Formats: sequence, C-alpha cells, structure tokens
Amino acid sequence: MIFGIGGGLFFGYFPFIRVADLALVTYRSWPGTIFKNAVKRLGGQYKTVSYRRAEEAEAELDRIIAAGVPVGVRTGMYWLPYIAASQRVQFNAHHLVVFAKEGDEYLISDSVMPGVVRCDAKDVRRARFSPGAMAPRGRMYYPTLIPKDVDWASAILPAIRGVCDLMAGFPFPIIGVAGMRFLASRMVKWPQRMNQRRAMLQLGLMIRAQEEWGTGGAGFRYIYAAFLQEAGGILKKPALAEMSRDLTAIGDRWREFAVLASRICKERSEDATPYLGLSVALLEIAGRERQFYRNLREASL
Amino acid sequence: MDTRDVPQDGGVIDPMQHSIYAVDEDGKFVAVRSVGWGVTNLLSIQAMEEFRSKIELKMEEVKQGRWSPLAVYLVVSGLSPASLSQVSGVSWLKVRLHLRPWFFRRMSAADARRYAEVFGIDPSRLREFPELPQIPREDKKEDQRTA
Repeated sequence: MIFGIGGGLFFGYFPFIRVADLALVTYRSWPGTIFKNAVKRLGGQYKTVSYRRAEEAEAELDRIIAAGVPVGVRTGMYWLPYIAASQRVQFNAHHLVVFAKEGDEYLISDSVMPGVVRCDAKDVRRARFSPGAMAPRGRMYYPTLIPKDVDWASAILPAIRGVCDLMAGFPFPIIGVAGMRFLASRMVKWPQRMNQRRAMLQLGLMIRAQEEWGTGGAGFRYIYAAFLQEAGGILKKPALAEMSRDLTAIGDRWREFAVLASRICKERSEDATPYLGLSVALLEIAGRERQFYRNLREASL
Repeated sequence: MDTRDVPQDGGVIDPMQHSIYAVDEDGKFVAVRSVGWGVTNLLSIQAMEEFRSKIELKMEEVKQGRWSPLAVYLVVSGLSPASLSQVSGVSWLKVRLHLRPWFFRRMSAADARRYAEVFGIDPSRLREFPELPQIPREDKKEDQRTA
C-alpha cells in the first residue's frame, strides 16, 4: 500500500551516473521520495534530521526509540556486518528501521533480511556516517503525526495518476517508457562500443538492479501489481484489479528478459546478435508498459 | 508469478533473502521469501569475479613497486582516498602519500592503527595483502536444474 501511495513504480537509465564504472539502470526512484509522498498523501507528518557528530546522532536515535517510536535510518550498507559478501558495495542510501535497543545492540527491521536483525551499535554508528557519494550524515526520520482516518481515494488515485504521467510522459528519454526505448537502442551497440566483457557486466548490472536490489521481483512490477489489487478492493474499482493482472503479465516479461540476458552473460559469446534480440525484447516490454499506463490512467479517474 | 514458481536457489546471497510478490491459488498477491534466483546468482558471481580480478591487478602493481599495500585495501573496500581520509582521520595528503611504497614504509604506528580500525584488521596486517574475497557458490540441489 505504502509503495503504491508513494508513487513507487519507476524506470531510469542514467548513463551519466556510474556504478563500478558502468551506466546505472534503476527501477527505484530517488531515495526518500516514496516515503515522503506516501506520508504526505496519507495526511501524516514526519521529521527528518541529520547530524554532524556521531555521538549526538546516536543519543537522539536512542531517545526516540526509547519513547516507542520506530525510526527510519539511512546507512552506507558496506559497513553493515550482516550484508552478504556478494552484495557488499559502497551504497549510501540503504534504509532500515531501528525500533529498539538492548544493551549495545540495536533491533533492526531491514528489508533484505528475514525477521529481526541485531546489530552492534558501533556498526550502526559507522554505517550512519559512511563517507563517499550521497553520504548519509546520520540522517534519520520518524513519524510525528499518524492520522486516525485515511481518505483512501484521495491518497491512492493521485498517486496512480502521478506514476502514469511520469512513466509515459517524461520529456527526456532517461526515465519511463522513453528511457526503456533509448536504452534498447543503445544496448544493440554495447558489444562494439565496449568490449564483450564490459558489455556482459553492464547487462549483469541492469538485471541485478531489476531482480537483486530489493525490488520484490521484476523491478517492482509485482509489488505495484499487489498494490493495484489491494487498491481495487478498497476503492471497489474492479478496473484496478484488471490492471493488476496486466502488470503481473508485464512483470513476467521482465523476468523472461532477465533469463534471456543471463543466458547471454553465461555464454559469453563474441557475437553481437544476441544483444539485438535483447533490445527487441526490451522494446516489446516498453510498448506493453506504454499501453498499460494509458489504460491505468483511465481506470484511475 | 505464482507462489509455487518462486525460486529458492540459495548460497549466494546468504544470509540475505528476497521478498518476492507472487500470486497464490486464489489469485491474491502474497509476499514470499526467496533465498535467491539462479539467474541473478550467476550475475552476482560474475560481478564478484570481476571485482576479484581488479584486486589481483592492483596486487600485481604493488608487487611491481608502483603502489603500496594500502592501494589494495582501497580497491577491496571501494573507498576513495578522500573517503578513507574522512573516515580514518588521517589527512588527505598523508593518505595519498601512503599509497606510495616510500612513504608507506615510513608510516607512523598511529596512522597504521587508524587505517586498521577502518578496515577491521590488526595494524600488523596492513603491510600484507588483504584476503581475497571468496566467490560464492550456489547450494547444490538434489535435482540439478540449468538456469
């Protein structure tokens, strides 16, 4: 629910942002926007604070969780000890929820871990003040007003329309359907513009962003379909449930795209034609999403 | 995706898990835990192999005398010299100098302790190469399926 009301669904191709010297393909919008939009549309309020000193940041966090309020904390995930070695990178926008402290350990809810995670305060302190790009600087946020009643229609429908307008109408071909089409045209040239190994890593990065970076499967398409199903029930709009089924099918296509891409990576062939097939598959998905946003916008009026 | 199709290919992202949204028999969405997907496991392993070869390349350059062992620690940690300076408390200029063998050999014990604190090692280990990261292996399954 929160995901959908916060906007959530996204696609971005940012060749000017590099991850391990590769172009960034992302399925998640700018960190913090989902939470901010969701709280605003639900009529709630929250407070964000950042700190210059780690001691102050820790003291404040302890004070608020002692009062029974869970706190969202931004961290550099490299410094968290429970992150798998294969996923440990310098990424400074990993958000988690701290809700209690026992002795020198925080009790944490982290979307990449099952159940409750216990983490030494020392490690959390280091992660909150991780250096580098987009440094968290101890940033944390917590609710200050949780509304008793929610007008679901006014929370949900504008959020859906916003997503449709962004994904289908963004004027530059780096976001949304236009971004997918632009990426598809670039993808064909990857084997000749970079060497075969780099092209493989670039493709690998795109698929990992789609499936490995906490998207719930198919680059958030499945989560959003779950939201549409739930929203359709609450608002008594069966059209939304139908849109949910459409998006699930599109999500399945993204998964098939991932399988196709991984086959290319596995085979490491010198041939460039597989990338052409991949590009065609991506264009097909883009076309389907374009139609989906058209239909969804109508269904959300 | 149906709940019965949610992959459980473990071994590569342990102890982390994915939360996959899939459809149950009644057509309702539920969140299902997954210990991994063979498709992305393969790609993560390839990325780690690339990472490992970057580290080995830097080790070669250190053996040739172009860089100090500190340079390898930078590659392993993904930190820039500026970030290392910020988090260790050693001045940026000193960090850059310590990347060269001549200055590295003359590093103070205090600075060595500061670096060691960041990398989570004993200061004496700083002069040696860090451990190469292990490439994870997928858990073997009874019925071996191809990706």
